[in-house]
Amino acid sequence: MNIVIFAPGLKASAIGRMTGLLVRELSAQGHTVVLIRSEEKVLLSAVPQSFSVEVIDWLQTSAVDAACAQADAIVHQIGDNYHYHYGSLEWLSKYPSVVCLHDFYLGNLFFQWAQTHMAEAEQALLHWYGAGSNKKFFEYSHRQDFIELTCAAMPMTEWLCAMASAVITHSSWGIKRVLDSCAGPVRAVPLAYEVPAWDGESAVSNAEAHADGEPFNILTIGNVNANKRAASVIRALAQSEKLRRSAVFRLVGQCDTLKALELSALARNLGVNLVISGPVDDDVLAVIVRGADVVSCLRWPSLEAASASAIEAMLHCKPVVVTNVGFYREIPSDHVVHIDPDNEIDSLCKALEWLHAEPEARLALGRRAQAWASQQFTAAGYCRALLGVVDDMHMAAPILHSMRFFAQALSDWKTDTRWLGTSLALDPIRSLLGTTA
Amino acid sequence: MKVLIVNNMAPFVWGGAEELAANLERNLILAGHQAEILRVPFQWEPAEAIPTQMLMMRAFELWNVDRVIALKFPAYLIRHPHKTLWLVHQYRQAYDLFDAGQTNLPPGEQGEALRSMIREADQQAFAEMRSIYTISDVTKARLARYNGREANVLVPPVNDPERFIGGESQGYVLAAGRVNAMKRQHLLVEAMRYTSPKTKLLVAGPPDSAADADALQRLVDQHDLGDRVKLDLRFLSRDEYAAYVNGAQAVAYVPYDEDALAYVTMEASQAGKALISACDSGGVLGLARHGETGWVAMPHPEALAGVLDQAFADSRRTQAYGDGARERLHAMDINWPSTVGMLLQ
Repeated sequence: MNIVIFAPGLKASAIGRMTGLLVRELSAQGHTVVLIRSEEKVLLSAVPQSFSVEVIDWLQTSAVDAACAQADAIVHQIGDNYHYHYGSLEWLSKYPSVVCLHDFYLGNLFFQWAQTHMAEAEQALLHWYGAGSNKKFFEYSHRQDFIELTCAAMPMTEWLCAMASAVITHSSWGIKRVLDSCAGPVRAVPLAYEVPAWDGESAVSNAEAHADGEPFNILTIGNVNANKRAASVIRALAQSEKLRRSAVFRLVGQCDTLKALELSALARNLGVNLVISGPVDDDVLAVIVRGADVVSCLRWPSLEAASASAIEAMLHCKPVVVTNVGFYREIPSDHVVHIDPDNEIDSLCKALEWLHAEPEARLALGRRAQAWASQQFTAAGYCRALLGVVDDMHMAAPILHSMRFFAQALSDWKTDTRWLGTSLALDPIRSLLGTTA
Repeated sequence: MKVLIVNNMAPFVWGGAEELAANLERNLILAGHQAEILRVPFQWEPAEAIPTQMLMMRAFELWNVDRVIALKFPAYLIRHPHKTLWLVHQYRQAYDLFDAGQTNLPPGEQGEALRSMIREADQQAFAEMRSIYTISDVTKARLARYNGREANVLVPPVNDPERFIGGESQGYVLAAGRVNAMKRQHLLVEAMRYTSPKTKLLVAGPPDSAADADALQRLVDQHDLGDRVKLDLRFLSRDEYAAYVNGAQAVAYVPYDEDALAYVTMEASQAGKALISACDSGGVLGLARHGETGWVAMPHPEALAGVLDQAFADSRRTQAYGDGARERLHAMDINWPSTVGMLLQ
């Protein structure tokens, strides 16, 4: 099969790294893959990761057209980062494609795209979220709590999925909006992730080290922002005398100065040992993860279709605390510790105290998580599901074509479609399409 | 040239539009073209099912066709790059019949939505046409009034003028054509209550339904008109029909707001027969002129009775009106070769 994949080529992109896994797996299975880099122009000059297949920039129009014309399947790997997915937005509507949706929340992607497509953007808002949404969305965009204000009511999931002929999501929690907007097949497929070498021994040694009075290391990975709940972790640690004395809370990832000052002041005032490490390279990160006793993947609100840091932590055999919401809720409860978002600090404090006091339980939890994650988040499984969705998409294509034809005709006739909801109006069309949808 | 005539179809119903399509096909072939008719079922009841039928029409893919000549809603929604409209009528329940309170569209918001959709679809279809003709001035005026579209009138020619040679009166007024409430043959039967005993009426043609036939028969029985009103309610062969026309004292045709000149009046004119019509009969009045080609009365039994009697009162005058009808028809220069030429222009 000839497969074209649009994705960021930069190694800094988690989606790009995941795509690298897919490309290797698909190539190993005998498929021909062309990778089309989707970053915005200014990022395309940076050297991409090694994909070992033909790589084209999305700006190379003729080459992209040629690749797409020969493709059996076109796939867009997309998340909520405009700079990384600029090219996908340029090409998505030109060829029927599978969208692999890495974030259910796409407000940032949409907002930045809207700056050069304002009329279309307002139309999309009005269509999906009703009167007034076009004004509200852009009013909110100037506020610090933009994400909190828009993630429930205007996540823009539908805007993107409506352009897709099929969608793969990485969890089921936000799938209703996808189903409502993508006319083609939709499937939830566990994210593909690279399985590191077995790390059980370091986990064991880390547990023993702690028993000898070493610090109790709690780690959060990723850009430090409000929804990663660092302040809640600090407050939970402060609530416990034991934890306050023994715990070190480390933040690894981009953190702006104001946020760093704010969190540092909070930790200092509450007597919590906080370390802000900033961004690190992969090797250093691996060392830090290996040294962690617990990885905190709290999120509120939850925006991701799947969490790379939670998966990575589980694959490293680490006990993980997660908010009982979204993707994280779908992880079996004996593989992670679920934290109640409505009683976050107390719930987290209790969980950390237990993990601190029970090194064996911590290790057992990590091993169960690792065993499960290493089966769940595989490139082979992902590719199998992707090819299945491609088959489904091809089977659905004639039906979608007919539906689009009828929808276009009704739109041209300025039809008030509320009135078409009667069985008299729709049953003959359903019969023609061979569907009960 | 391969020409496809696109028309609606109501199974086992055959009327003027069907006759028009069949004769257009025949005359296209006579003009050296390949021609076929695509008849697509259309049923306007219940109104909720109309959008689906419109979509189905729109969904057809035509190939191996050089030209399309479309006649009616929703047949004219079909897609083709070279489409000519010879408009018999739009969906009148969304236009003039709606205004006249004679629509089958549901009341309120639903009906408004449907009416708006039909009109938008029409506007889109009319914009796609290479040329637009109508079958009468009435249709042309309706198209201009409701859709803002200009059109030329191409009156459908009589198909077999050689049959309508006229002849000696056999002493009856003929009311011919499809029998239904819109054609109002019942007004003529009721008028016979008020006519002179020597006035006779022959109603001949296929009823749209058994109820239409029963209604006329009841009127005849109720008013004891059996000796002066003859009902021959069936599909007539062309020979039978032409014999009835040729033997008539005059021909009465009183539909409500007919779209066209109507075959009945054209064939009667060809046969040199005086015409009787009503002042609200629409396109028919293009031929039926009071005091010139016959009589035009108010659409009431008493008024019609007066003109039915007139037809027998002075046979020389009646014949003069018949001659006037023939002259008027011939002056219109309506013939198939030029009609086909216009449609394929």
